[in-house]
Amino acid sequence: MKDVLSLLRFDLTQALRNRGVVIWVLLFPLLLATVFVFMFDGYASGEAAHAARVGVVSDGSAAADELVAVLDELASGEEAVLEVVTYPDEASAAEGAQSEEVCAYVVASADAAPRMEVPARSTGTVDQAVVQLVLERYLQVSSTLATVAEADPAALPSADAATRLAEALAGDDVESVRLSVLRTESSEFARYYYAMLGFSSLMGAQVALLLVVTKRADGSPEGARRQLGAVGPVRQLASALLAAWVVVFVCLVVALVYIRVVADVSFGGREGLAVAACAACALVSCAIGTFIGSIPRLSTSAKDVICTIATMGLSLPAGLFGTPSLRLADWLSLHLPWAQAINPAVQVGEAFYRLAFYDSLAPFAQSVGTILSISAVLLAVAALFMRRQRYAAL
Amino acid sequence: MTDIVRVEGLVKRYGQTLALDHLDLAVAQGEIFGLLGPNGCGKTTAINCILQLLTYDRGSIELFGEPMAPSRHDLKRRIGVVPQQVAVLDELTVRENVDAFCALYVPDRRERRRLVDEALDFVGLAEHATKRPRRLSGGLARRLNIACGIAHRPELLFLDEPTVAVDPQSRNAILDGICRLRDSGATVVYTSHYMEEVEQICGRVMIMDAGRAIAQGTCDELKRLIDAGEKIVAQTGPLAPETLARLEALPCVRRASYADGELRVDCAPAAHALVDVLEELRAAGVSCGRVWSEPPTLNDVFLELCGRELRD
Repeated sequence: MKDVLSLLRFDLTQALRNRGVVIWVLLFPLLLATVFVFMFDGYASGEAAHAARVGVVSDGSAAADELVAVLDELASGEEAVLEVVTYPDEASAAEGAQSEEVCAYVVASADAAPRMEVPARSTGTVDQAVVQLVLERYLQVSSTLATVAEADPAALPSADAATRLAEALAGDDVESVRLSVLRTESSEFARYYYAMLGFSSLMGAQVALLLVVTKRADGSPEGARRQLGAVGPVRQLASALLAAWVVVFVCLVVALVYIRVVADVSFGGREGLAVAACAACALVSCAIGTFIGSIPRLSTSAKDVICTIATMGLSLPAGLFGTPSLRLADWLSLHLPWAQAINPAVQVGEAFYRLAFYDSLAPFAQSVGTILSISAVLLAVAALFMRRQRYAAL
Repeated sequence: MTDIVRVEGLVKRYGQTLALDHLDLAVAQGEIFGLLGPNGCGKTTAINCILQLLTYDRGSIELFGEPMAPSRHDLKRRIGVVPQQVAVLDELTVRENVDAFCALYVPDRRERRRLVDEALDFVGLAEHATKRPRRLSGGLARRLNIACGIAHRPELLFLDEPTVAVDPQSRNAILDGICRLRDSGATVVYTSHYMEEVEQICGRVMIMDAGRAIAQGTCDELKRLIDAGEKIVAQTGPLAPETLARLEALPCVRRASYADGELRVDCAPAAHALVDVLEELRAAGVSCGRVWSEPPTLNDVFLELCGRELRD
């Protein structure tokens, strides 16, 4: 054990001073998370509510005044959904809409039902949808009130009618409760961060690859020299794997803390278990690196290329690369579930997703179990490769 | 004297290719043993088999009087290797590299610190201890390569062409260092393509070709194996063809040629070749400027035994 520990220090130093490891395993996930933060923050601010600017043309009739009163009510207060601009006639309102002073205008008269006009060159905007919704609801409530008035005229004192109608439209007396079947509120963006952790785990395979290749007699001149030493190959590999695991684990925990604190990504209050999941993810990372490093008759550069292709290829169905990637992930989950089940990048993302959103820890444990199983299989195959190569040929 | 390395009947095949053909080798304690041969003759394969980096088909290998095996870490602890290619870790500094390779033999950190200091002083790299290998010149990198192989004070050291591509000063320092290692009790197996180096430092030499040992002995013993005498060179004025013919007719002369004011005479082994040649020149009335005689070298032996045709 003492000789393993004395080698561990050098393996850790070698890994931490390797430029590729620092850039791709430590810094790149943080950079990617930062990009996500800004990207998704842009989405969020784009969805922030603001008052829709609408024009109103009224003929001064009682019916028109009633509608104007409702719109004015919706345009008042801190959470106003409308901003009303009054025009003297329809021509000036149309001009205002064409010049995009308002998104649409409403014509209110005693002769006909209120009507909404939109400029021809700009239709289907969110603001227009808001105005349309308000108008439809006004007509719906007006129709209801007319029916009530016809059945029981005393129920509707005319003085309060407009106010009550506005209150009804504003929805003060309606309480909506958002229900979620998940443990914590779901975020469509969280999935990207979990997929990013899966991607980071696979990127971490570079660490084990670097250390294994420089320990193997057939991997590099340094490896051949090390194999001549008085410490056996198993102990040397143990030191390499331990060092790789520590480095990847620390990098994953750093990424985890970063996305928890900076990106405010939820882990369902189970941060301790998330760190434990990182330990399993670091293990699968080491297993992948060891497996690729042990492939016989391949140069180190070819192994590097395989590692990179594997990382990108396995991360694709994990949903890291935007909506098409997410659709692919969903399609594979539906049609080729086994392919997702043996994909370590998918399983890592799933582990964090299940940890955050499921009440039961069983699904999380299942993902972690899958990750550990994949690790065991890869390490077993790597051991087989290494055993066959030992002292056979250089 | 005790044999530190004893190899008997070593056979190694790569498919149909016979890389080592019943190789016998014995290296005595405290000597510098030279292993010579053209490219592909089996030198490195032999060393890799001895070090158990390669399996072999037949034969036996004993180191320090005990059978060598891949799991004999107790024997490996007593061996140092300086490979042909500079095999160090780019991520570690000079000092850390020596320390890292020394840690494969010496787990105690305090003891290692002393050994690393000594190794760095030995190869003259103490002032470069904090540099990364890629910032070293070719000669310094070679010296680092050596320091990594000797830091744990091996009793048996394998040096595989350690002076390739280094300047004369660095080469001289390396050769001096190897002799000091021998003087301190180490046994050295040294391979090189530089014959003058081998002649300078090796007590005994083996010449290999096609996986076999074709000659073995001290440098003088090897020179006696070939039928070559000294080469006499004389700077003279124009030489008549009949004078050249008379020179070639001398019993001690094999061949004589004249070009650019320089007469070259290849002699058979004989006691008075120089005297005979000079007397013949005086008789012909030829006055000489500088005259010198070159004894046969290991290079002559090598070319005589391995042939002069180009190899892969």
